[in-house]
Amino acid sequence: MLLGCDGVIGGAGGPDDVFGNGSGSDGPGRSQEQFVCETPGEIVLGTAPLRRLTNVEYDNTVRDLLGGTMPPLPDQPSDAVLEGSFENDALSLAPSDVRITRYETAAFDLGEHAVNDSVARTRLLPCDPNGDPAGCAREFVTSFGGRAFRRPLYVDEVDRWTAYFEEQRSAIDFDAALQLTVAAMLQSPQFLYRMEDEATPGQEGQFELSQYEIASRLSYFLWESMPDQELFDAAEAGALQDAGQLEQQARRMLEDVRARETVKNFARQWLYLDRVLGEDKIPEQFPLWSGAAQQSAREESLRFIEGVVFGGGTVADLFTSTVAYVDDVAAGLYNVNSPAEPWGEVQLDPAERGGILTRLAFLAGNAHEGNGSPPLRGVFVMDRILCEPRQSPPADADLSPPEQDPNAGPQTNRELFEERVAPADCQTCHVRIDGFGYGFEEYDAAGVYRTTDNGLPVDASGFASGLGNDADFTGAVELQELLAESPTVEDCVVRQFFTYGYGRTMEPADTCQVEELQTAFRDNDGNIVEMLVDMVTRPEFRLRSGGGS
Amino acid sequence: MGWSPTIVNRRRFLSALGLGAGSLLLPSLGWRTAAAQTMPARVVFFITPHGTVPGRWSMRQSGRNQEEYDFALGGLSQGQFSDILRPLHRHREKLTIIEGLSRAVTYAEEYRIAHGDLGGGDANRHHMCQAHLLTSNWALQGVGTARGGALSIDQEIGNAVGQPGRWNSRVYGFNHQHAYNYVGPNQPAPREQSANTAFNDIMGLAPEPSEPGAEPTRDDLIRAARGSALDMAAEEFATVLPSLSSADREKLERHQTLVRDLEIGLSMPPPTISSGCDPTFSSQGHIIDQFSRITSVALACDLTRVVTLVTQNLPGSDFGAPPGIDIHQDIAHASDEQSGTTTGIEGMVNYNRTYAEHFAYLLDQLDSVQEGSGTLLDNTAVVWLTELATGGHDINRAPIVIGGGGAGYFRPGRYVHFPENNSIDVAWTGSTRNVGLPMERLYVNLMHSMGMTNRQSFGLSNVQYAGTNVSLSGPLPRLT
Repeated sequence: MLLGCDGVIGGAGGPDDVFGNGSGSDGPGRSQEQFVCETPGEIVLGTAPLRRLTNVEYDNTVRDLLGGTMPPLPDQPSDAVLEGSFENDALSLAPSDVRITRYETAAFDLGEHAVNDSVARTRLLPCDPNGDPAGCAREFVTSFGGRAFRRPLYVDEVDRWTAYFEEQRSAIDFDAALQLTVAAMLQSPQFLYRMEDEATPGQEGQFELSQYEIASRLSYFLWESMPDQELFDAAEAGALQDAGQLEQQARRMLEDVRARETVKNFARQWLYLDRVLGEDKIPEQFPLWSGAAQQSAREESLRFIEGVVFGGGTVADLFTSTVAYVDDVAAGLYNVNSPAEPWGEVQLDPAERGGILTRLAFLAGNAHEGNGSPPLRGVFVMDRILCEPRQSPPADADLSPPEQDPNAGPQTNRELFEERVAPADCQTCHVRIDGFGYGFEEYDAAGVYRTTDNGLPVDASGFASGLGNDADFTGAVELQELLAESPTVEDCVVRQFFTYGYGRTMEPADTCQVEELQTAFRDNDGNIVEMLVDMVTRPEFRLRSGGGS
Repeated sequence: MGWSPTIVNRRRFLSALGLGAGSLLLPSLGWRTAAAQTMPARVVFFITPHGTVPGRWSMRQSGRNQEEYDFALGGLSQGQFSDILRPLHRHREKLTIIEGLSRAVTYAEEYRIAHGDLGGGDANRHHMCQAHLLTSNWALQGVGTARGGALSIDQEIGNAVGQPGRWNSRVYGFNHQHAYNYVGPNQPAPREQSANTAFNDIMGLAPEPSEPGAEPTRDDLIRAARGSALDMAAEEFATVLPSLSSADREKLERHQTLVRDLEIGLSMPPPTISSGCDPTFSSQGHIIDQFSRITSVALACDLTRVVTLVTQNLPGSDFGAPPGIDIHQDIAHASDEQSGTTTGIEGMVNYNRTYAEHFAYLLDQLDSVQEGSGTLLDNTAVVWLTELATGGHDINRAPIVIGGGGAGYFRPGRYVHFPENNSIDVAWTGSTRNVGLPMERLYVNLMHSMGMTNRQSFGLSNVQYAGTNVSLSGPLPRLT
């Protein structure tokens, strides 16, 4: 029973989905009309659900908190909810019995690390326990607790934790107390969750975050980790009050490798770069594609994005730059000479390759094992790059790769797909989807450039719609030139970053802020680093709504 | 983490449970006596991807497609079992094979989407069926794709029958695309896909003392104090809760409860251990079988009473498919008995028969554990469910097999056939179709088998298509 392609589509979007109602369990979605900024210039806040540290944030935070040679930690249950979401969506970051058990194991092991790793021990213990152990215990609780909870402890907290420390010290010894206190703090909500409970009531039911809360927002936004000492010092000095101060911190932080890792982690999720890790290709047809190619393809795209973003690049560069950082495997697939060092910089042929959508990870990740998939590639562009509501095929659509009829003459991949979606019902959606998708026909299932397909010339002509600058094009290089100029694409990139930065789907209340960010982004020619600075220097970044989630 | 040897010996396990080897011999341990008298009921969900090839799965009697009936399996020879179910022949006296149930929630949600009640939605049947299968509830739409919209049945039962300090339920294995098991809307239940880690989990975290009678070492003391660290952390939750919104507070209260549960778990012996609790584990053989052995240990030692085993999507090499073939596209989607290809149909038969072999292995494990006058299998309902009904996305005539007796609730050794005689509107074609009783009602039977006898529905209690009301309430007939 194969049914038509019409009907079902629309309404459910990605994590960036303006239609979706991510904060509730039932609402089928909102109409787009509600997402209009009705109060331009005013500060309107969306919800601020409590955020647990993601697995990435947890690992980064314990690394920065403890230092030394980190012990292997137990694998946590995955945060990766499901395809289409960012891993840091607060809605999905719920506790579970497995997670709590893993936290316990990890905390106990990290406590042991704090005692036995000399680097960690030196960093954590500000005093000599042999002199005045009780005094040293209190000193440790104050200093370590303040860093673990990312704010100074209150007096009653110092008392409580010192009492716990002393109890263990008298029962066992100082080092055991050190280990157990670290373990207990690492299982406390003030460590595992990003508490914003020190915020004070401000105007119109909004709360002004404390200086330490702002420091954490900054560090988790730009580093996915805890604040460093300089941020703590700035919070202590009350120097995170205004846009200028935050900008200064943000620019400093963006120079740090942690910011690069954060942008890469975002891009990995935004562009589904993990998809390629599961891509096997038919070995006889794709001799250059191997298990190593999956990792190389993913890594190449991550390095490309890092290079663009932190090289002062813009959204346009993401879609047009011919720079690549490759290893031997990727070089082979791109048909360029290997660089002197692995992951060295090379230039790709501008006639064949440009930005991210002519890279291996996208092309091979959105393909079948024997042929590229115009629908998968087209849907990707609409969903990820244009932020259009994600489309699913109808319930009983035939999703198999079309196959050449052995009794008919040779056909190209495009011709096979054109036959498959020829019914009028299918065309309702596929005329747009494949308008993008056929533009990638110059790349086979492994992302290798080709001019013929099955002995016939490749037809990579397409039509790009919904961009604001819709046009016919031929080939992905031309398509990306259109995307590079598209205001829709710029707006989408802002929405993706916003969703990631705030750890939740966009809400109507965010509309004014997002529109202003989008305007600023265009004024900055789509410079991504400048957009990040814009986001953290806005007043909303220093506020939260009263109701929580 | 954990230990590298693949075999864990019995003494270590008992130590891990906080029991010295000698303490097992003490007659004063009440839980042992109790164990001999009543064995708890357990439930296992065994979920395989795609669906079956109905004509090669079914064993219904010719000419009786419009009847509700059942017949005994005991007298059937191996050759009389269907191609797909043949590997289960040796367990025939302990099987309930159920044919003819339909996936009513999925039909109903399709109807809602097709008629615009949701303003669109993800109608991909893989996604929807994964979201619906165990939740028996509307999918959560509007988050990019259809995902589970409510607590799933394994969690519901686990929460009802769970014991302090033990796992309420466990989920092992692999997602097919999205999760089946949910603790709440869009919140997949934690799933363990490493067999070693899964085994470590059920072993618990309890201190491993030195030789019995010896003075505790410093390490012993530190390990024994782990509970105090949990206690300290749990106390901290109380200090932050008042400042939170209700949704956040609920999340943290749950976290706090889990911390308390773990603290209890560190310090208490298991309430019951059957004589068949033999906690050894070898990470050998197929990953599905590894999880089956862990499931058997977990149930036999009463470390949990609810397990879901989401099976790995079999690689072609597991069932003799040609190398390089795309199982989803070239086999599952090509397995329709009227319009499919030989490769697709025979491939899908082999695919499902291979799962039947693994399912039979799981039943072997449970049946090898003596409990009272029967076996662990007799006290368990092992429910084999498929993602969809067929490889071609049909959702009628869902192939269901229950192994075991559910502690006396089920009356196994039978083939139960339900007719497709309920007419419903089919969402897409605008026509009607006859379908069988809702499979969702099976969960009422399962809850009853687990002692939740006051329950008359799980998830949605009824659904509608074009004004036709279809009840999802009440246990299915003929199963007890």
